[in-house]
Amino acid sequence: MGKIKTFILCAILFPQIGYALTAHELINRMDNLYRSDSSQAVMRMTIITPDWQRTMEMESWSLGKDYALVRIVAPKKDAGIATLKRDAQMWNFFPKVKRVIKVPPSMMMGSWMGSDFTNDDLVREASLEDDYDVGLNENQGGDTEYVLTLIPKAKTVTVWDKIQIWITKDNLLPTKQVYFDEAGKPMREMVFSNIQEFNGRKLPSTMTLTPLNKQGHKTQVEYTQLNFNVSLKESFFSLRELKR
Amino acid sequence: MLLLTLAKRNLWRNKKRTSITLLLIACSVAAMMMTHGLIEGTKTSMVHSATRLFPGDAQVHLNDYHVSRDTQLRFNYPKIVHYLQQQPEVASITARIYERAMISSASNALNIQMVAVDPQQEANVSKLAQAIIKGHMLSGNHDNSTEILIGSKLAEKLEVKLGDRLVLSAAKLLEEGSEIAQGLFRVSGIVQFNAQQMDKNWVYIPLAKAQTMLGMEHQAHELAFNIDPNAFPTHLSQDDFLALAFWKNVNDAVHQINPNVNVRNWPELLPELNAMLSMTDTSLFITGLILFIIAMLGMVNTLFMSIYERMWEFAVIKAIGNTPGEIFLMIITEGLLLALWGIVFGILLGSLGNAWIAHVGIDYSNMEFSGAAIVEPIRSEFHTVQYVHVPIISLLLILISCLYPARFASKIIPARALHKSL
Amino acid sequence: MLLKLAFRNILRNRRRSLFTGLSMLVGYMLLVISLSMQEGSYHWILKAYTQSQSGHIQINHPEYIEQPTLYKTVNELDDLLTWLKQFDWITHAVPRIEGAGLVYGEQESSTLPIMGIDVENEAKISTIKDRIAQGEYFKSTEHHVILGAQAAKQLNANIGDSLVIISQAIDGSMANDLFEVVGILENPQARDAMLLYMPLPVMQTFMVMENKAHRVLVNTADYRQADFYAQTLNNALQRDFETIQAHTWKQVEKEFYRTMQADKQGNQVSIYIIVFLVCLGVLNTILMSLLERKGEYGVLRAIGAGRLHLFNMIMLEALMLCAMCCFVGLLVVIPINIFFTHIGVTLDQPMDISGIAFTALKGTMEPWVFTLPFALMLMSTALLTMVPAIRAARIKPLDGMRAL
Repeated sequence: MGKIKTFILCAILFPQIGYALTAHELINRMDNLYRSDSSQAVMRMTIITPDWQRTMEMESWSLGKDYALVRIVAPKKDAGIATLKRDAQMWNFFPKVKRVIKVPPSMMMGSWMGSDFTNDDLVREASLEDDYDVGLNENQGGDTEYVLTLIPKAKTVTVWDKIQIWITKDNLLPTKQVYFDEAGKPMREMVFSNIQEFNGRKLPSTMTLTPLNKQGHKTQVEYTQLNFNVSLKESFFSLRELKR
Repeated sequence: MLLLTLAKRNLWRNKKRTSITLLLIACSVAAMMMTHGLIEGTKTSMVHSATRLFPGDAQVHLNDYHVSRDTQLRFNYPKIVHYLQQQPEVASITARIYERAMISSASNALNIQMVAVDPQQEANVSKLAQAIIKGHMLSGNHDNSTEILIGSKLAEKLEVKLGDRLVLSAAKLLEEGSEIAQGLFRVSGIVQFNAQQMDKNWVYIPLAKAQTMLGMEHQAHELAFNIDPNAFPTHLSQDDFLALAFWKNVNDAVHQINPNVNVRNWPELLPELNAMLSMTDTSLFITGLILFIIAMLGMVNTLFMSIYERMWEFAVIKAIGNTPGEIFLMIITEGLLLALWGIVFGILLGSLGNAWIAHVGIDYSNMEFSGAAIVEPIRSEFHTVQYVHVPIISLLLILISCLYPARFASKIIPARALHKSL
Repeated sequence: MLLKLAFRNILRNRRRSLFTGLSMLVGYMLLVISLSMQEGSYHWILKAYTQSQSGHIQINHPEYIEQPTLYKTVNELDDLLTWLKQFDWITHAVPRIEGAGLVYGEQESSTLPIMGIDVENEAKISTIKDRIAQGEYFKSTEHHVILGAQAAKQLNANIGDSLVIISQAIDGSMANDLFEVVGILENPQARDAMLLYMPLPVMQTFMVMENKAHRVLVNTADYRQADFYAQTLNNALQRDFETIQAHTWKQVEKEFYRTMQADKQGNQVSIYIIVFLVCLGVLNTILMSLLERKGEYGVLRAIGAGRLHLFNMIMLEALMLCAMCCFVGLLVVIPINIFFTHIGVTLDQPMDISGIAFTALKGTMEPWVFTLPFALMLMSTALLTMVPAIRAARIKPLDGMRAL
């Protein structure tokens, strides 16, 4: 009798097929969506501004949260320019002048290669679960989507007052992430699209970041290749490797 | 004193002429006093506007920090502050940290100057608290504070208002290299100094917070302090200020604590201001010169006229036996009396004028000279110079201008003068 | 006839005329020198400044002056420069590019503003060549840079050092290249102390800005004609190059211009003070001389001179005296003014007004500096003399003659 009651309760309260999902579980999924112990990827980044447009192709490697290496492959003018991150420090390599330069702290909040992403975005991998209080709204997204509302914890260092993530109910993949300021105004929007299978995982392969307070700006990142848990050692993320 | 009585009577025989001349002398003296008062007031206002706005009357730095602004030039300050606080000449003292940082809001990210201050001490030294136009001053020197004050123009660029989030990123120096320190802040106040650089570029956080963020416990880049005006005997002129033994003593004592730390007064730190002040002194001198040339001309003219009119008189006196010397003395005495009365009257007028302007004040706000906005209205000042130097110099000059007419009078040849008509 | 009388009267009593005249003379000279110095100082600064910093006229993208960005460019630069040659009143047309970059020295790095300059023409209009403290000026258009004094200090850079400069080009790509320091400028307090200069063509390639610039400085024979020529230029530009506009130096340096106007107004006040003081002196002497001649006037009235006649005579004498004194003053003050105009008074410490440094006070020889004080003196004399003259003219003959 008790079991039937629980089942009916569940059926009423959580009208999905199968099991109940908590906000906690969802945010965990988001945190780990693109994450793995190590990864290698090839991607295309398109930057659109009112004054110019560029498309770059890059190859990237990452190990955990602390090590990352990104190298530009195309266009020819920029080919070979690479960025290395080790813990909280960052270096850039420019093949034309054959120099490795350290990115000074004052430039860390500046944009990476002119895109709408900051150096800081690349360097810090925020854990949404650790830094935010998560609330789940089942109805805001209608029948098809969950909406997660993230409020930064007291100690979290961020300019955003609120982040909302739209997640498709049937494949549990994000479609949209919006960043809000104090006044509740949406300031940045990241759209996830083009779901593809990489290495057994189904992921949106395209992310488009649009600042909502500036006209005519957009940055789009498209993964053409994404491999997880590749064998990479810490020693790979070195200044020597940066210069290759 | 027969001479005096005679001189007095001679002067008042022609009331109109004497009055006009008295007026001329009085006006010149008064004008001189008022110009001096105004210029001294302007100088004080300029200095205080510059120093009391933010820098302070004097600052303490390691090596040449005031020129190089090298963030590595940081020093331990507790002992030095303790020593300075005990000096009667030091009215108030505060410590500051400066660092270039990046500030981001939801709309924008900019490179700015971070200034860390101890709210209570700072309020005694600079006008930061008064420059707040919205919100309130930092409430306390807490190391976990999230309060931040930002310049009005900066607030516009970042599109933030009170309570909004800001993230500050700065370099924390380590044994080797550096790492990024970031802090979350909420706008607690908006500051307007009407000085371009400060309103566009500066943010203020509690000193302890910066020390924690940057790993600078007990360290600062700068100490700023103000001089107690009562500690010094009279109103100081700039030269007197610089010549005080205080500066040498203080530097010697501080060198005992840390040989590379120096105490510098504002003339050293703000050489442009210093130059402006000496220029105003020069212009004062020139104005004074002009005034006296004009007054002297008037005096000589008047005296000559009085002699002319009395030619016949002088002829008679000489004929009945007065020596040229006595006549000379008589003219001089007349001049002396005129001078004395005129000067006394002038001092009265000048004092009134100065008092009036001191009360009302002249407002120069919204004009920027040499990077310093003049925030305080200018008030005339009373000065010994005005009551001692000006009268004495006036007296001397007037007496000198009497010499020629007196000599002329004494040399009158009675026979010729008695012929004189038109 | 009246004139002759007036003249004779003046000469009759040399001493009296001398003293009255002396006040007027000194007054005139003071006014001339004050006006000259005030106007001259500004003129001298403006001349140098508009010549070398802002240009008399500047051609830019219409929004560049208010909100400068890398993207607001003057395009078709080469065509524009050729097109400008048709105007014979243009003495120089000098392009400039302005950007910024992350500059890495051997050990230190810094974000610096960068300026691309036309190697040959820039040297003709600005003082950059004379301000080189170490090394030398650009000899050709290679990857060379000249650093301002403070920039060199921050980078700890010396002649021959190699600098890596990173920036974002106008097409969004990452500009990065190596440059050699060939010159370092003097004076850490200079306006361009934090600036890095490189040859224009080099910067154009670096920033992918071929055939573009941000400013084209256009100089003429006299900066005071900028308003007129800018208008002419704009009319022509509208026809041939619609995307760009000509701006006068006043529009380019709005803040300085505003402060200068305010300062000039303040100076007017000091002129008034001088005029007032001079009037005091003149009033005194005129009153004195009238009082002294009471007897004279009494006799004149007694023998039948009308009141108007007397009034005219007194006024005429005063004005003639004034004119004569001003003339003498003119002769005396001309050499003094020449000294101030060409040599001037050098300031110990340059004075900064809204970013522009005044290093000396100079005079000017413009005619109005001599004629305006003359007019002021005549007017003041006339005004000051009027009331006493009226009173003198109304003297009853007997009262006057009693003074004899």
